[in-house]
Amino acid sequence: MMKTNIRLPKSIYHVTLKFVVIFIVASAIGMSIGFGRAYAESESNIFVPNAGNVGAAGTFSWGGTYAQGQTTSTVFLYQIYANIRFWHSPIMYPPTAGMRDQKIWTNSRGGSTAAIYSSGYGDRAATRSYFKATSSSPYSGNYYTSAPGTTGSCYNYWNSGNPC
Amino acid sequence: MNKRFLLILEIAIALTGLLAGYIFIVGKSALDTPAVAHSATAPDNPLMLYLAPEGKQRGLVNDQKAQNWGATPVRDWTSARAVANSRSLDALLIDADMFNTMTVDDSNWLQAQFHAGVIIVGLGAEEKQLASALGLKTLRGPDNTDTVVGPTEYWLVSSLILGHPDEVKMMEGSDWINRHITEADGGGGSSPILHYPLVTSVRIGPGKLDSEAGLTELTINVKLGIEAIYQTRAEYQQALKDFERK
Repeated sequence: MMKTNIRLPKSIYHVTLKFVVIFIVASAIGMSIGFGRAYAESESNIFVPNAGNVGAAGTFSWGGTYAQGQTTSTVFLYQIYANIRFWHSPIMYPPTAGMRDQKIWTNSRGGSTAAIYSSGYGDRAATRSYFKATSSSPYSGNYYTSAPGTTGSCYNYWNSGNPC
Repeated sequence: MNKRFLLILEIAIALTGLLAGYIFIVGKSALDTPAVAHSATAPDNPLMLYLAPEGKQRGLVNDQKAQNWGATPVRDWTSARAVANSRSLDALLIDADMFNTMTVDDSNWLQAQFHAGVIIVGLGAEEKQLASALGLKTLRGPDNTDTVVGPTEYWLVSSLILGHPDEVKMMEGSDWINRHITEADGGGGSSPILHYPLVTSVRIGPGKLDSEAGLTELTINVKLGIEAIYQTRAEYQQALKDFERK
C-alpha cells in the first residue's frame, strides 16, 4: 500500500494563526467598547394585538447607577407606555421606592423614559411596558425588563421591589 | 499568496471580530432597537433656583451647597417669579418653610411652572403640602402608598404634555396628571380619544438630604430631569414629522 504524507506549507499555518490572533484581539476590543457603554435587558418582536410583532421594550443601565427605559414600535401605535423606577432593595431590609419616570406616547412609535439615577448599593431598575394598536384594540399585556438584567423582570419586582 | 488579498482578508476578519465582541456584550437588541435620543438641546447652564429663607440649613442643604450645584438662592416668591420672568426656569428647589408664605398668586405661578415642565423639588415638604401646592391629589402612586418624607428628605416631581393644542386642552380637562400618578395604567385607559401625536410624562421620587450620596442623587436626578424635558420636546417634534409623512 502506498503511504501518502501530505504536508501543508508552513506559510498556511502562519497565515491561519495570524487570522485567529487578529480575530481574538479585535473581539476583545469590541467587547471593551460594548462593556463601558451600556448594558441592556430587552425584548423585541413583542406581539401587539391588531398590529403584529412590532413592539420592543428594554431597560438600559450604565455606570452601575443610571438607568433608562425604552418602549418602541416599528409602526405607529395608538398608545405606548413605559414606566421605569428604581427600588432601593438591600437584601435584609424592606425595599423602598426610588425615582420613577413614566411616559405615555399616543399616535407614535414610542421612545425613551428619562434617565434615572440611584446612589444605593443593590438598587435595581425595572421598566414596565405595554402597547395598544388602536383606540379600540386590547392592550398587549405588560412586559417587564430590568437592570441588572433579568433580576427584576416581573410584576412583583416592578410593583413592590420584592423578589420575583 | 497575493499580499493585497491577505491584507484585505485580515481587515475583514478584524472587523468581524470587533463586531462580534461588541454584539456579545451589548446584545443583538442594541442593534434592533432605535438608538436612545440625546439631550442635545438642553442648555449648558439651566436656570435652577433655590427658594429658602436666609441662612436655612436642611439636612446638608444650604445656600453654599445649592450654589455649588449651579442653583441661585432666592429669598421669597416675588424674587423667584422675577428671575423666572427674565429667563426660562428649568428647576425650582423649594424649602418647606417657603410654603408658609405662599400666596394664591404664588401658587398659581408655581402650578404654571409645573405644567410647563419645570422640575419641582420640595425640600422637607410633606407630601400633602407639595401635592396641594401643585394642584395634585397626591404624589404617591400605587407602588409607594406608604412613602413618607421627613424634614430632611424631599420629593422631586415634574410633568410635561406635548400635543395638538385642542387635544392638550382635552387631556387637561380630563385631569391627566392625577390619573398618570394614581392609576395603574398611567390613566391611558381613561383618556379621551386622540387623533394626533401626544406625549405625557411624569417624574416623581423621594430622596434624602442628610447624606452626600443623597445630595448627589438629588442633583443628578434634577439634571437628568431637565435634559429629559428638552429631549422629549425634540422627540415630539420628530414624531410630528413622522406622523405627517406616514
